[in-house]
Amino acid sequence: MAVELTRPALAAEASALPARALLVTLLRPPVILYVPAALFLAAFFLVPLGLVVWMSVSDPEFGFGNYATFFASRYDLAVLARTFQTAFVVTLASLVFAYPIAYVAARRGGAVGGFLLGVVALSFWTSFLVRTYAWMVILGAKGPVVGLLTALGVSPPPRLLFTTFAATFAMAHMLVPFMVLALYAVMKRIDESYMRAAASLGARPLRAFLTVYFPQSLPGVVNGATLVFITCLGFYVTPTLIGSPQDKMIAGRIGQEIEQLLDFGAASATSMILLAAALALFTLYDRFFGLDRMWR
Amino acid sequence: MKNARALSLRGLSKSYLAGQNAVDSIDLEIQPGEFVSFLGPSGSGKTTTLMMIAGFSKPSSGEIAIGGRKIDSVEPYDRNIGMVFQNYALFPHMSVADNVGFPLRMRQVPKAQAAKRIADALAMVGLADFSGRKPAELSGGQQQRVALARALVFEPDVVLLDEPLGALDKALREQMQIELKRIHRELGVTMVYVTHDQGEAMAMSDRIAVFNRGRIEQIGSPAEVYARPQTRFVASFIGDSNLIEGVIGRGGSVDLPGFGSIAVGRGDLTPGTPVDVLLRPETIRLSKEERSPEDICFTVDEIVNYGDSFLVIGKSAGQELRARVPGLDMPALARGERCVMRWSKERVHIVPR
Repeated sequence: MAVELTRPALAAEASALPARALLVTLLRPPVILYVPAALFLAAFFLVPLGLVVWMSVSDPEFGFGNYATFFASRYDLAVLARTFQTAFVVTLASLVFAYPIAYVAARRGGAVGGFLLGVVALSFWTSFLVRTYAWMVILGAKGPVVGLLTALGVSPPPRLLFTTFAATFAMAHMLVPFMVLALYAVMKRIDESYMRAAASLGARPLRAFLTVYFPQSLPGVVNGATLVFITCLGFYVTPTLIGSPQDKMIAGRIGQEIEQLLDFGAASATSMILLAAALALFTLYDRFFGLDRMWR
Repeated sequence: MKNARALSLRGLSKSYLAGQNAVDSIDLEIQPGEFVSFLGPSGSGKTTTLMMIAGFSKPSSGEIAIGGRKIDSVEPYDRNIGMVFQNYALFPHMSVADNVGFPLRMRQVPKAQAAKRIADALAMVGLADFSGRKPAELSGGQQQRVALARALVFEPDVVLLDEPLGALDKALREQMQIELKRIHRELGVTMVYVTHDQGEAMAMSDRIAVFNRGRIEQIGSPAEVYARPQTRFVASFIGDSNLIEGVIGRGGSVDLPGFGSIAVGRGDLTPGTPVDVLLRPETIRLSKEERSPEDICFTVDEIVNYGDSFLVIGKSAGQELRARVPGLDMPALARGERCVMRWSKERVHIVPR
């Protein structure tokens, strides 16, 4: 109440003194509330990002040399292409795994749905590193998969660990929870009466799913795919630990440039290219896949 | 319509828990082209019954037949039943025309013929110019019409409507009631209409089936159900009512403590049987002039002015009574005032207990 009363008085006073007016505006509660977050972001996000940008154009000498080197290098371009290709495959695979889970959880609800979501959440809460090591055990030379294949008479058993297949499979597994949650959020809003309406109008279950349910779940597919694709672009731990050393992804390449080549300029430029690629995707997503807004 | 069909429910039951029937042995014969309402409070089994007819819920026992053909083992998509849902359930990603055309596509109706039938159906509900719109671009009433057109366009044997007007405001609801009646008249299709709104059921139905606790308490024309309810529940659920406890006396009369004995010509009931006497509020006349020794005293507790009529709540012989008086006939009464009430004896209806 007291604040309400003094505010007009302050405002009247402030209009006479522009400098003080600014101060008054800045010290008013809503603005003041942004300050900690703004300072935090500036100190720990904008400044480091700025440093990376600076390093990419100044180390070892000023100019766009690092970028030119990247785009002139067949190896680097191959890494970039492979990164996109892997992200695409991972997105597709996690969609294939996640869609049925989300579908059953959203439509069944109850104990079955709760159990499925619980399993997904459990996986979601377990760190990437732990799950990567789990895959190392499962796919390792003495792991259960190789053991099973040997028992089935596959000889010699294929090498699974340290392959692009292993990395792709593991990443898809790790990103499935993101996809499930994105899909579930949208599917939960699709009322059961749509499928009933479709049935009453003569649509068999598969037809009803394809013509009525799936199109309505597309916003979830696009949301989930974007989330998974962009996360996958920057994936470091899994491809580095269980992927093929020859088939690096871009985050692994950045690590190599820093740790082995000590070329901070090149690493910074590569980082910026990765960031630009992710931003470009986000922009595309926003432009073309505003599916959410199309019929709501 | 050439394919208006009869719908019969025989001994239809649905139980979710052992010993508890959500729907309890319902028998109902609906004539071809009839408009029947399922009226009842929520949880009375009316929607469960509708879902069993549509095929979304499996009956625990009993059978359902359309046009004499048993459909118990027929899948919902093969039942040829049109359904209008409470929330319309229009497919949001399809245009109005695609929504209405959906059942025709499912039936492989040739494109040109389908286009004509879509146009006819939309014209029937007054939305001929809206075929290209998306459902989200329509008002609630318009969406309702599209849902209706979609449920009718494939010439279903029976049309089920699940509280279709529930989400609309009052004025629009009345307009849609009239329109729905017109469409029913024009097409002559068999319609089953679920509602908890007794006014809606009264306004539209050929017959009303009053549901309570999983059973049909009474089935009859609106006039019949209103004037001659067979149970206390029907009497109190439909319309405003005064129920006075009484006992059957000699010679087909009923004794009402405090109100005297009224000849009702119910010689069929054994003297001494306790009954309820239904007195509709609009059959009570209030007057300030005493005329005969038979006059009954009425003390006014509350007066509610509805503009066209007054609701007068008061007491007579220790019993709370409600009287509905047309605005023009309203005597100058005030709260706490005593007056005289009369009713016409032929309007009195006995409800067995």
